[in-house]
Order: sequence, then structure tokens, then C-alpha cells
Amino acid sequence: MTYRCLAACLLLLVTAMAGAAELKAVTPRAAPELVLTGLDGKTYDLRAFRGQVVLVNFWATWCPPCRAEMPSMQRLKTMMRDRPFAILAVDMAETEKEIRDFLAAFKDTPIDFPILLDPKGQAMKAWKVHVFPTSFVVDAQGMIRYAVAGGVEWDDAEPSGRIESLLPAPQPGAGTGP
Amino acid sequence: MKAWWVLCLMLLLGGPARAQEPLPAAAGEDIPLTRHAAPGRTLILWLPSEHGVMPQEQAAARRLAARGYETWVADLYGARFLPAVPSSMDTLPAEDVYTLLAAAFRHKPRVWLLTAGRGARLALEGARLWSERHGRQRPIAGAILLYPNLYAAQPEPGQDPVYLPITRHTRLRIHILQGDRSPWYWTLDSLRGELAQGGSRVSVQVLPGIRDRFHFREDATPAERALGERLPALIIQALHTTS
Repeated sequence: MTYRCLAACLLLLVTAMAGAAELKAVTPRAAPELVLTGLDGKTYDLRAFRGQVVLVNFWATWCPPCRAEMPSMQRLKTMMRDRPFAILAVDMAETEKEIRDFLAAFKDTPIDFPILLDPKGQAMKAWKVHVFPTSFVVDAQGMIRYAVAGGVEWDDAEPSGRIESLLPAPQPGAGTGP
Repeated sequence: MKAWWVLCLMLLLGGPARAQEPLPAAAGEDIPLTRHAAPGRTLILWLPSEHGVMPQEQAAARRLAARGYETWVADLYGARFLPAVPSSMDTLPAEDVYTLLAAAFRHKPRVWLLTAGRGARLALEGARLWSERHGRQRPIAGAILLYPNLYAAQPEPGQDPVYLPITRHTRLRIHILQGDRSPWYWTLDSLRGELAQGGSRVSVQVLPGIRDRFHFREDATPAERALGERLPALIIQALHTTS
């Protein structure tokens, strides 16, 4: 019986690991432009986040792995509070109602990072996104350092550690951007 | 007129004739083939996607035949004793499609290829083999591709997609059915450009609010289920659009 339980746990673990995509280091390159209106009506410009590490996530409400990873993004944001880190989640061409209905379902982990609207897929094309979700980690200098196609448990040690390694050392008197 | 009477008789008798019989392939194995017979001059050869032959596709094929379009559903995985997974898909030989096309043309003068997803690779490579050997005498009427995946490999984030060489070595009438709730919707222009380089004439029908695999996905939305029910009508519409 114990062996069966162990085997079942191992199978679950392997399945869970197989389901998560790996955040891969890429040759650093300048992030494309990203200027979009948020669900809150504000305009977000990635350049205004210089000095912070930014997780740029492309997603859609109809994409199951996007739904699955979103709470872990919120937990990552909470882990990184008071650190120079931000999340910009770009929704692909959906209506505000669809997005609001979707976000309302996250009662246990309310999502409070900016949701950006890309109604014509301009950002998606500029960033060359071919799979949902796709995420890029942009360093404090505006360079893409990591990328991943597929869902990630963002608060797991490996992805969060990689992001943490990019955080600039705190400087006396330095702000944390917008 | 004669075809009309045959169709009426078939409907009265409970639907079109359906026969499951293997087709001997060049390599010696038999290709499991379900033939949904119908009168008329058109035959649709339905090739599997990376998900295999789905029951919903057999049902759609049956309904196509009921509307007068003979449809053959070929289980090319079964012919090779392979599991229906993406890695098997890319090993399926185009020669088997050629064999199916040869049998189809013996049966009807107008033959269409139909497939989904990664099955597009198989359809185009099979069409090319046919075209090289018999293209002038008996051209394939066209190919209907549902959410085709013709990437050479899954493109890396931030990189341009690279398409399989067959994409730009195909000269065929192609009709693409693509839902706009798919990342592939956003690369339709580049895919069209690649296909056009080989001389293909490409038409596209965008399916609003629809995801890929809409006709058989377990988490289908009501809109996807409704469109899945209309798949035979969509295919018939595509035949007429592309003709």
C-alpha cells in the first residue's frame, strides 16, 4: 500500500513537472516597444519601468495554461513586494468584459498587477509570440534575459530565483519607478 | 438526376453506406480506411492530425456523405502501428497519402484533401508526390486545412517562425479554416506568404471566438460545440469557395 502511495505521488510529481515549461536564458537583446492601455484605463510604457525587472506575460482567458499560471504570478508579485519588480500581463484581443469576468474568478488570489490590452495583436507581433502563454523577463536595463513558451509556476524556486538574480542592488535614495 | 435518386434511397435506408476496409499500401502494410460512400463526382480524403482519427471527424465524414460528398477517413497511424501523437505524426510517410490519392482518383474525378493541425504537412507532401507523378493529368482539386501547423519546429519566443520546406514547395488551391482564439491566427499572414511562394492559391476563413481543435476538444465552449456541429457545412462551403 505504501509503495502504491509512493508510486502515485511520484507519478503526480512527474506529471506536474512535465506540465510546467522552463524559463530559459536567452542572448540578451533589447525588448521591443510596449506601449498599451491597461484595463484600468492608464497607459503603460515598458520604458517607464527602467530600473525594474519586468515580467512581460502574453496571455488570453481562453488558454488553460494561462489561467493555471496566473495565481503563481500574483504570488510572485507578493514575494517581490518592495523590490524593483513588476508584472505586465498583455491580454490578446479580448473584450474588457471577458477579462473582468475572468479575473473575478480569482477570489483566493486577487490579481492586482496591470492587465494590458492588445486589441489588434500589435504587441504580440512585435514580440514574436507564437504560443500562449509566452513570457519574457526584462532586466532593469530593458534587455530581454529570459523567455518561456508555456505555463510556469512563477513562485517556484527556479523561476523566482532567476528573476531575483536580475534585481538591481538597492541604492540609497533610488526609487522603484512607476 | 440519377445521383439524386441514389441519395434519396440512401437517406431512406438510414444514411450513406459506410465500409471499413484496409487499403494495401506500398510498403506492404494495410491502411485502415473508412469509406463513407456517396454519389457525385467529389471525394474528400480526410487525413489524420497529430491527435489521430477522432470520432467527431468520423461523424462529420458520415454527414458529408449524407450530403452527397463521398468521404474517406484514413487511419495512417494504424497502418504503421503507431500511437497518435505529434512525434509519430512527423514520421508518417507521404507515400501512403499518394497511395490513398491513387485509390481515390480511381473512384472519383474530383479529389480534395482535408486535415487539421500537423496533418497539413502530410497532406502537402502527399499532394506534391501526386503532383510530380500525375499532376497534369489528374490534379488534386485542393486542400482544406483546419488550423494548419506547418512550423519546422515550435518557434522560440521572440524569434521568427521557420516553416517546413514543403510550405513553399506546394502549388495547390488551399483553404484555411482558422479560429481567432489561437496564436496561429496572428501568423496567418506569414503562412499565406510562405504558401504563396510555391504558387499556391490560398483563401482563409477566420472563425471568430473559436479555438483550435474546436470540433473535438473536451473543454469546448458552447460556440465551439455549435461550430463543431456545423463542420460538414463549413467544409462544403470551403469546397465551393475554393473551386
